[in-house]
Amino acid sequence: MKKFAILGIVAISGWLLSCEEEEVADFVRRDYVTGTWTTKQIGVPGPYNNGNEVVTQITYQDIVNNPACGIDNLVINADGTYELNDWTNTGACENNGISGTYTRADNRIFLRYTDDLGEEKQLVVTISTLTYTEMLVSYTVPGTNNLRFFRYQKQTE
Amino acid sequence: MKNNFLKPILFSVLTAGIMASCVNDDDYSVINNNCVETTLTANLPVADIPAGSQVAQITQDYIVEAYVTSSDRSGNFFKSISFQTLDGSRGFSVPVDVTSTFINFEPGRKVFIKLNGLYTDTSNGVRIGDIYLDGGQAQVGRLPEAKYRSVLQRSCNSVPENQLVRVLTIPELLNDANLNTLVELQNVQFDDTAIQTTYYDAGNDLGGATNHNLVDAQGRSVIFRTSSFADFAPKNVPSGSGKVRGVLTKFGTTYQFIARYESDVMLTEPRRQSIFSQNFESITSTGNNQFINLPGWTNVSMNNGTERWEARIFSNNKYAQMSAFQTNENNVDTRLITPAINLDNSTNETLTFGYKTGFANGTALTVWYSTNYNGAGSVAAVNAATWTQLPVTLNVQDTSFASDFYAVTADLSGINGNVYISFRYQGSSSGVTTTYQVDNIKVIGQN
Repeated sequence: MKKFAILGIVAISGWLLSCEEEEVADFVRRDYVTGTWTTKQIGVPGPYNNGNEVVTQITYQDIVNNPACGIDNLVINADGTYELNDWTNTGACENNGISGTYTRADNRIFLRYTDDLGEEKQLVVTISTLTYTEMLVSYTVPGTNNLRFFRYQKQTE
Repeated sequence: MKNNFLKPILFSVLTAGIMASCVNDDDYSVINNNCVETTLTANLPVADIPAGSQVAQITQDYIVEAYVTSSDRSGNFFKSISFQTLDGSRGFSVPVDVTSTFINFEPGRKVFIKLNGLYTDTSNGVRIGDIYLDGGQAQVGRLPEAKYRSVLQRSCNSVPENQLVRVLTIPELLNDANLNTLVELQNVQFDDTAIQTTYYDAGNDLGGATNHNLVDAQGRSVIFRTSSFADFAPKNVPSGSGKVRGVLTKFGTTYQFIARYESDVMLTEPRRQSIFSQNFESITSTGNNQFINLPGWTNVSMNNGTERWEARIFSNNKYAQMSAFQTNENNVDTRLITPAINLDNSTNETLTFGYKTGFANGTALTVWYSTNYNGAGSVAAVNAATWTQLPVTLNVQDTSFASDFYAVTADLSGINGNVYISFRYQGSSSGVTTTYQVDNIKVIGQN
């Protein structure tokens, strides 16, 4: 009789457990992307012969901000807006950046902006590395064919 | 009685619980039911995909349509999908961080690819994918799974793969324009070393795969690569000849032909065997006036001249050479004739050889055969025989010797019995003096 009881328990538990939906715990995904990201380095790709083939080598340079101007950075707000600030100083400070709204999909951030001619454009930023403090991205600089790599550091509160 | 009644019930409940548990309706066959067609429309020909030697990002809303050629069903392709245009004029690959892609992207499937934001280069053929940073280097890398799903849009339409495949010869195949396209090679077989082993041979491992050689009737070859993960990897390499279907890839400067499944290898015809072969390497003396004098061979000046075919060497390779230059003979007719080659026990025989020219100022070489020459080696014996010219094309007129011999093939399949092949040089010291070099003379047939 004991044997039947054990078999019965096994059978019923098999039945009950068999189609259990995977439980999803209450989990709040930490939003790694939003925040103010200071541009630390810019990488310029170029051809490099490694002995076997010509590869794309990236040469990184530190970003030195002009104290008279603003700081180069990427501000990604939780409300879906962003600012990409790119300051130059040719006698006067000028921000060549863009701003607007963004969406995220997979490892891409789609930055929407309006260009100087009033046309709606979109910049596709690819995230290669993302931690809570560092982000490495690449995109083609608007209005050019220049692919660039950027190393950002999150500005702490 | 109780026992007999309860046992089957409990057993049935237990079995039903196990059998029914966790069924998730996984169906690994090709999905076609209730297919909803994508709304995408191609707006860029594959030929215009902006790809160069350096990694670049596509910034326009381009969409291309292409057809799948590869398959990871048997494990010989891994995390990369090859595509081509319907006519096979262009191909490219998309590396993806996904396995079992054949379920949705099987050969022949039409696919739309949204290029905006993706990266391209032309490393080993046009590649489209994500960016991959390896230290200070950037390259086109695999699309993450989420991106793969949004970027590659499967159409409900597919074409039979026979509509995609192109039949090419090995020399035609070995061209960057064919990378990632589906190609069928005919009248090929694995070389002699390969047929002693398995598709993947652990003793011949190159980066987790084995490279064998597929050769055609003219001796031209292409690498056939099999991954250790291919489900046919442990099987013996077939010895027959016939057709092989696959996708052309490239590693560095080396082309590699990759079958998708074992059934791509259709070597069902008898193997071609060497019936006769001469590469002149056994000759000990080479140079000016070192006339070829191999056993059974005829090397004769038909007009009592002194110049005949010489044994020469260059870059450790020996060959036969003939020129009328500075011979002071105005009617050079010199024959280099093979020993008798018996074709009774074979079918579909072909003659192959390689040749080069130098200081060319006209055609001087023709190739003939005879089945009634007696092999005596004299002018009279050659004249007494009946000679028929073989329809070979020898139109190369290089003034500087090429680095490789040009391959020539002639069909001997209609000839039986003993055959002699004659390399006939006709020139004049005051006329055509082109220097000819001939090497690797072979007759191959099926037994």
